[in-house]
Amino acid sequence: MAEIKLEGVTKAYGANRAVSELSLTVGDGEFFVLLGPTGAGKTTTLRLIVGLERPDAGRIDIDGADVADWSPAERDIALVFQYYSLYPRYTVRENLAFPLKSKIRKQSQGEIEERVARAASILRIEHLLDRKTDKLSGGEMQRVSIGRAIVREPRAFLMDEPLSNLDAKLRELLRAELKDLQMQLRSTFLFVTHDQVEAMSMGDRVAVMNEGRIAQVATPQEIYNHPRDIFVATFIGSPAMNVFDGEIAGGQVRALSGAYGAALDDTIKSRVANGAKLKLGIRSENVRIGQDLPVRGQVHHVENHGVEQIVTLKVNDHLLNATLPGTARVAIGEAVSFELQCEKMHYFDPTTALNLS
Amino acid sequence: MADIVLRDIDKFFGDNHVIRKLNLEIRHKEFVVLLGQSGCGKTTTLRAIAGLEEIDAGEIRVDDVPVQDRRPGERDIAFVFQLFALYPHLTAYQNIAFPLRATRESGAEVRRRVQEVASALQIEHLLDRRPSALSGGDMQRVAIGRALVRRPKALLMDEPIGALDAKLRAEMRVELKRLHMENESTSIYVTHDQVEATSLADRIAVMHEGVLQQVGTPVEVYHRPANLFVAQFIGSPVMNVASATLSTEDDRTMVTFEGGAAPLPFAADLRRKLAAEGCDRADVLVGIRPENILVEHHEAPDSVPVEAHIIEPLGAYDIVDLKFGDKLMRARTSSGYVTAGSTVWARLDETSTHFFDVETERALRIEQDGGHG
Repeated sequence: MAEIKLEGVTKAYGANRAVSELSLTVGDGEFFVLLGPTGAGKTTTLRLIVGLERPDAGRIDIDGADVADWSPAERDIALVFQYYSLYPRYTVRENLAFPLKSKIRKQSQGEIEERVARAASILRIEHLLDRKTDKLSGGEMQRVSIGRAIVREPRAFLMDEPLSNLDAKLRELLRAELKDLQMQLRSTFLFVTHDQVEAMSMGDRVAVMNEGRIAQVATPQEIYNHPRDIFVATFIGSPAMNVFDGEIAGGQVRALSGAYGAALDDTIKSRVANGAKLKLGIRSENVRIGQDLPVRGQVHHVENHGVEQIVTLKVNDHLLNATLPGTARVAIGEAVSFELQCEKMHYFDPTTALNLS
Repeated sequence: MADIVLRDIDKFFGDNHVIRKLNLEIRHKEFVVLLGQSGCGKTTTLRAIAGLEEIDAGEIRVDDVPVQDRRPGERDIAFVFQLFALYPHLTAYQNIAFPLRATRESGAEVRRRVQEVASALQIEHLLDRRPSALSGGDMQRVAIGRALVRRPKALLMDEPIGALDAKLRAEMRVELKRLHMENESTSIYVTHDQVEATSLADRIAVMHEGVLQQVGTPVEVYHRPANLFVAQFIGSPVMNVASATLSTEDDRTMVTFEGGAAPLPFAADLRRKLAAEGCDRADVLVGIRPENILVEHHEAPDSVPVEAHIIEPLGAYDIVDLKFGDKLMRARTSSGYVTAGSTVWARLDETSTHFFDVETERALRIEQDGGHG
């Protein structure tokens, strides 16, 4: 059990600042996700917490104690990687027992067996215990790697893209299993991913990282509904939020070369000057296609995802995505009318990219 | 008329039977996607059509002419690989013009044809660059241009955008679709990505372990999967499947999932319809997509109480794990509708429930129209 706290942590490799003045607190027993594109600094953050890297500045506390001088072993945090580092010529049982056989642990054979059995039962790999690890499927190997972390009963689990190498169906299954595992163990999980679906579906809270900094920390719902800036708004959600230029004129906002106009609510009005430019954002599910609606356009592209279709609309050379039920009939080239639900519109400052709402 | 016909194709790699008695027709101007996991035989099938692999049995006809004994160059089919395979020392223009060097076209005609495909692919401004100065997406555009410039009878593509990042893949899907609508070249496209398949294909051919499982439009394979494999391969999240037993109670057929779930009432004639499909056993596999499990806070007709276990909030909607006895079934609900640990009432949308034979895993069609697919 552990609370992990970072304060003003910076780490540079040469001129490249991988992590910049990063502060965050992962609560005890929390499933916390670090989400961001490649190069955002997620993996460096994990390595700093585990003790594989030393920060250039800032402080890392585990359960209130500064761990600057602690070795990785003393920090007692288990790390699970994307690539399963199992011993191929050994059985699953031997692989699971291995972390317990270290000389500093001095655990009895009975205790080792008990822990291995418990981990195998939690992960439902009991039937695999006597198999060599090179005879396992990808999903089974990843379960064994997680098992190796569980047997140690560490203070926290750090996972670096553990599902990225698996196929889509297995990823979906293991997502639910990992969430379930964390709820059973009630341990602190810090999970790194570039996949927003993984982050949203598993995290109690999500920290969105970009270029070594944290853009926003919040619950998945909060991040989806109230993104702090354009980066978060477009990184979360699939398809990405539609973002386009708008202009304020006489208390109204106009966009899409005149095709869209709406009254501004008072909060936004108080924050922008007349004539100001801003960026508008709207999610595809808030673009509604129907009969006799105010905006007219043409269907540019249709992607059928089964349960729903993503329809790309073209209006005055702007492209907008809309979500439609899978059964709706639309054809490329067709003329349609639609509306943007203005109560769901996000307004961003064009220079700072910050959400004005 | 079909442009390409595959009849009873078999192919072995040593003892490994990689294509098993495959039959498929690709119509004129059609875009067909071969979809399956790695190792299912889809790439070998594509390479066999191109003439890059010899087949052990069967016939491949292009425009009604058997071509299985012809060399690749004599089949008039163009191939685009996942890796761009451009000549590094030639410019984009020279790469695209390369296949025309032996055709004795006039210089003016070559320039016209290269300009034409470059314009369709929107790479006119890149024609003077070498491949090393191009992005991944642009390299693949050049590779496609080189394939199209010959005006082949068919265009074969092997995961052409698989190596690109997610954002670029999404852009290239739109471009490939538009290009096909403009060019109308008969196309066969291999991928393991179901989003690529459903967004590009006129028809999808789903393959598994060398066997063609189903050929149909994206809507057909999603709504009327031929068997359990297709049902669970297409769609995300995966279709829920439960073992169930059927019984008759008053005027209803009761469907009871394994694991102590409460029985779910279905129409009385369900058992008769299943029997008409050749299944007269009391055990059956039930498949239901997450969006077809209907969830409410209060008791509703035909619904049963279930506990919500894990909630996956995905923003626009939630995926909720519901406990039908010991069996977890995933439902799609509006965002925030269900809270973890609470009890809700759930029923299966009867017209969207799928049944599969326990032994053969074949779909048992019970639609009102009695349609057999």
